[in-house]
Amino acid sequence: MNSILPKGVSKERFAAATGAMRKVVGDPWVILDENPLIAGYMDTYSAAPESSTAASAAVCPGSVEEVQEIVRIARQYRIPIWSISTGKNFAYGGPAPRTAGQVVLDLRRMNRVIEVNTDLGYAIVEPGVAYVDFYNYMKRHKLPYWIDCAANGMGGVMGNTLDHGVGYTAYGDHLLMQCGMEVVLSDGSLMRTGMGALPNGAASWPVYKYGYGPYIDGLFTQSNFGVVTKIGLWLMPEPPAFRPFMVQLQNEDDLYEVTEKLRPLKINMIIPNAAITVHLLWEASVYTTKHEWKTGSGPLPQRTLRQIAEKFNLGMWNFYAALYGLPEVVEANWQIVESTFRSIKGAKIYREADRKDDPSFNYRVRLMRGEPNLTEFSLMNWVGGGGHINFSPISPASGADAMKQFHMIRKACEKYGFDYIGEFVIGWREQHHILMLMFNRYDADESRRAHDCFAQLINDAAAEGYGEYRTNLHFMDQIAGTYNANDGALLRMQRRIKHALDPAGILSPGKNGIWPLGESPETNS
Amino acid sequence: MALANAATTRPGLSPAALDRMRAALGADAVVVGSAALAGYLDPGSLAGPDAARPAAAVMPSSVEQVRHLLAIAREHRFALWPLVGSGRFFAPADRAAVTVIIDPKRMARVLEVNEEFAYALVEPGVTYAQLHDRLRSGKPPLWLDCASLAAGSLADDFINRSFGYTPYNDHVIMQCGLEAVMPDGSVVRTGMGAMPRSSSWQLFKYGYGPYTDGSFTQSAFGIVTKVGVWLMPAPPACKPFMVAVPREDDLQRLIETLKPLKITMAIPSTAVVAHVLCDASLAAPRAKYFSGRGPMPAAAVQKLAGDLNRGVWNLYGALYGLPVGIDAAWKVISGAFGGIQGARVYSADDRKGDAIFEYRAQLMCGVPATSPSGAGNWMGGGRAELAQAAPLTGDDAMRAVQIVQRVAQAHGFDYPSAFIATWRSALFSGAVAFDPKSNDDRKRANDCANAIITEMAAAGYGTVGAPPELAEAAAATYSAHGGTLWQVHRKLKAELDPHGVIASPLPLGHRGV
Amino acid sequence: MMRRVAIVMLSILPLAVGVSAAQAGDAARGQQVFDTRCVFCHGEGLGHPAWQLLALKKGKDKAEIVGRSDLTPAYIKQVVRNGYIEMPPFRASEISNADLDALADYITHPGAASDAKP
Repeated sequence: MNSILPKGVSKERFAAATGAMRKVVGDPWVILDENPLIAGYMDTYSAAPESSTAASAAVCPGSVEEVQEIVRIARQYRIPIWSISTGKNFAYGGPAPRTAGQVVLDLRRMNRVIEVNTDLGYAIVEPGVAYVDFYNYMKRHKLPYWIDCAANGMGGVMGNTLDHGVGYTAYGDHLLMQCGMEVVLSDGSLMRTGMGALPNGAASWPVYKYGYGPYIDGLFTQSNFGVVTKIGLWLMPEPPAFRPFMVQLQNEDDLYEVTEKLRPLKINMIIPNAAITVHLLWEASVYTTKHEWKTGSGPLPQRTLRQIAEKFNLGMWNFYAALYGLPEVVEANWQIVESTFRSIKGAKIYREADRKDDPSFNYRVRLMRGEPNLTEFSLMNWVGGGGHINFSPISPASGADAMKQFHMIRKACEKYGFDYIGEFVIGWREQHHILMLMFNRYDADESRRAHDCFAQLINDAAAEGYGEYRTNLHFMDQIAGTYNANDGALLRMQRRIKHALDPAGILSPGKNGIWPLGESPETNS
Repeated sequence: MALANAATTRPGLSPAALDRMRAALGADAVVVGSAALAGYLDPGSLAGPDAARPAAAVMPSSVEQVRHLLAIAREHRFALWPLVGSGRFFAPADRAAVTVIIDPKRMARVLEVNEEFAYALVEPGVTYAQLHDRLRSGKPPLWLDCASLAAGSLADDFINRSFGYTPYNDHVIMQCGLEAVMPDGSVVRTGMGAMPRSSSWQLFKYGYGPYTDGSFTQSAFGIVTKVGVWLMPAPPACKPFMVAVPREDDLQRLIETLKPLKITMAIPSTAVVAHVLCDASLAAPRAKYFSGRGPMPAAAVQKLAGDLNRGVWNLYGALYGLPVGIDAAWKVISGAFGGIQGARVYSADDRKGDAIFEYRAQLMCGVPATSPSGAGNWMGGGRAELAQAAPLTGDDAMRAVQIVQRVAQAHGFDYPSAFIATWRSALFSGAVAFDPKSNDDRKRANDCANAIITEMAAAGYGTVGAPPELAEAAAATYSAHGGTLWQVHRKLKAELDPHGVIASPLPLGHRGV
Repeated sequence: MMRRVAIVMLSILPLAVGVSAAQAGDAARGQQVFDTRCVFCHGEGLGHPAWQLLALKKGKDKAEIVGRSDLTPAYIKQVVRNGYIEMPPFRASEISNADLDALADYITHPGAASDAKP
């Protein structure tokens, strides 16, 4: 008998529900917690104990029809089901549900690239398509389009988009490039948004986003209003010329100037991709680990950081971006870009040929042309022990905000005994500051400190008006609570929407702080 | 008078409700009286000059006043009709009698222009012309992407999802952060606006949790009171151009040539592919060109193209950036279009004195403009404007044109139209143009527009823009999967606005008032 | 943490779910799985985090797991299903049991894959 059950569900009801689900998906694809395969649904990286998000079961449908059936059963038996697509959003919770006992609805088996239209440059994918598989598909069929992947090449095309993830080519704003969505609603019915709601509208569905009436695709992102089973996305045509580059900055304070110099280049779209300013240790982890520089815990001193920078020919900050387009345009823009960054004192500018065989530069270049990899996971070796959570506040793309955040976050990291390992990803007009909080998950004290550090950072950031764009399972409610302007009007509206579309409250309860009416983190713990 | 009205059998707006609105907004902010309210009707619409008038119109000047209005509407059971986002008032008589227009005239402040980050935050009544005046004096100058008339409202075009003509043509994409008053009076700020003290409200669209901004477009879930818009910094150079092809059938090749240039963003502007009747309608009423009745015959259309020194189909686009980059792109683009037999490729110098070209060039180069002839004057102002979305392919364009021309001609109308090509689609935008003085014409135009909606939908071209009179017909075509999409829209409406205090032309099931 | 250890122990039991006899032992298939699911971390050289860590801990000769003689199929399968410190677990929905068998065959006997190639 299952040792974990969904909150408030009797073992009889649970057995009846999972029994009914078995009939839909087949025995092997309902994985109860006595089955060793349930281990695959653990969040193996968070600072909180795995038991706090242990699933009672996982169900793995193989088709949209099966998803519809599973949702109907969940609704009938009032079983909370937590949807995952590839389950690889590590640092944010991976495949685990929000609370212990929720049943994971694992959509990974639905892994077809339904269509790539080379005439119009779009694709339609199922939830289980991983970036690596999508990339290989494009290569295998020799298609003249790039994909845009997250830093985690094992991640899911759809899941990343729905979680507002970003990539590194000119199509890095994944949600912006999404067009057309298919959703299984909480009553098991199927809905297509936009032109997909038009009988015979299949050809327009992935090319025109808005359809007629309210444009609701965004409602199904970072939320729990339905189970998304397909998305369309626009693909970037292979550009005639591509010029990635790196600007190495010698001082931590140069963050101010590089951000200020970059902003007009971004707003004028001279640099069309997500430009990144990456701290030394993020890149250094490709070559070395902390243990080679320090015994015991605690952050590395400045002196050591300088040594590391020198040894691996890295800057205290390392800026990466790329130019795309016609060769003449790339060349003309390069003149502007080069002279702009050259004017920063001590800045060194590198192009591809300058850093051949350099694995840290190489993986950035690959990301900027949509080639999946996992080099960023070298960070996991920095302290070892696997633990990592991402703290990701949004701010204006300004030097002052970058410096303020850098100091604020580093101070908190050092207080709790951690290195600052971060990067700034600059999009249209804002920057995502990503802190990689690395800790040894097998050290209970360190895990607790990481958890506390993160919790403090949320409040520190909110006090300055900085809110996070995405987060780990364990902090979803705390962060939702910081978006509380006008007496929490936005979250209240979102909860009303939840009530309208999922009155039984069975779909991913608690996702991003959205609990069914009458429920709360407390009623679910 | 008001008392007498209230006492009749037809339910209407109670005098008490009017009094409360006057008390909340000031007497001069509440418009009643048949003559004044007739100004909110459009005699050139399908409903015509005799359409039902609203019970009143109100002009709130603050968010607080909008909240008051909603509270009064909830209590007195009437509905508010925001002009911004609906385009125009239209309701059957029984509903009109309990509907009050919200006129945005007094909420027309530019709340912020940020030159460093290139955005503005505006109230719903702000017009392009108004914001343009403000931006012109700034350094650096910021462009406006005007999707309708210079006198049009930015918020209205965003909510209607109208497309403009610069690289910032997609107003939903270029919108960042909004504020809406919900039917229960709560004031929602989306995205980073929900974070107290955030300075990123107009910088990051998505915030945390579901991205809800899109739900406030073409809907009636809340009354939008502020909209953030990203603005394009004036580029070093802008090069508008035109490609004219001589025959109806050349459309196929023209669109096929355009397709890769749009998808690769070699042409970053909207590409407008306008039929000569569409171009001609921008310059003058039809009577100036043609005196016959019924749809213009093919020979007359050919002759008109010759007289106006353009093709039967005419493509307009623009290039932006450094001159050297524009030169490089122009080589590719002029080469591609030049390869179409009979095509003439023009730069601005070649079209000096062409008012139609200059109007379109202005729009593509970030200057709000209004066409020489004003809007929809082909047949003296009567028109039903429609837009369908189609994939950006030559075959789809030909098919769409053939369907619409067949239907329009069968009903006895011209259909001046253009393809508005943006990312990967073309909006086929046109108008059933009719004589507004003829009730017979108006009735046939209504039949014609309905037939276009259904026939185009059957061919897979869904209507994405329609006048309020045809909103239900357009929505009804989106019926796949048992009509689940519109069921969801109605569920959202019922939840967020259980008393139906925000009205709109859309079939959101909110007729309870 | 306790729960996870318990599961690691349990996983040594044979897993019989969905194994296709036709696929089991197919080393070429195993190589394909390796190249799509493992190579990002276990490929050779810096930039491949698992290789980097193993090189540091066990020496470069053991950093490349393909062809290592000290790894058994049972151990490989257990690590894949349960994860191992920095390595995340892989679910049956992403690497089927049959594919996992093939993968373990490939890692332990990579020669068979190259033999099988035309």
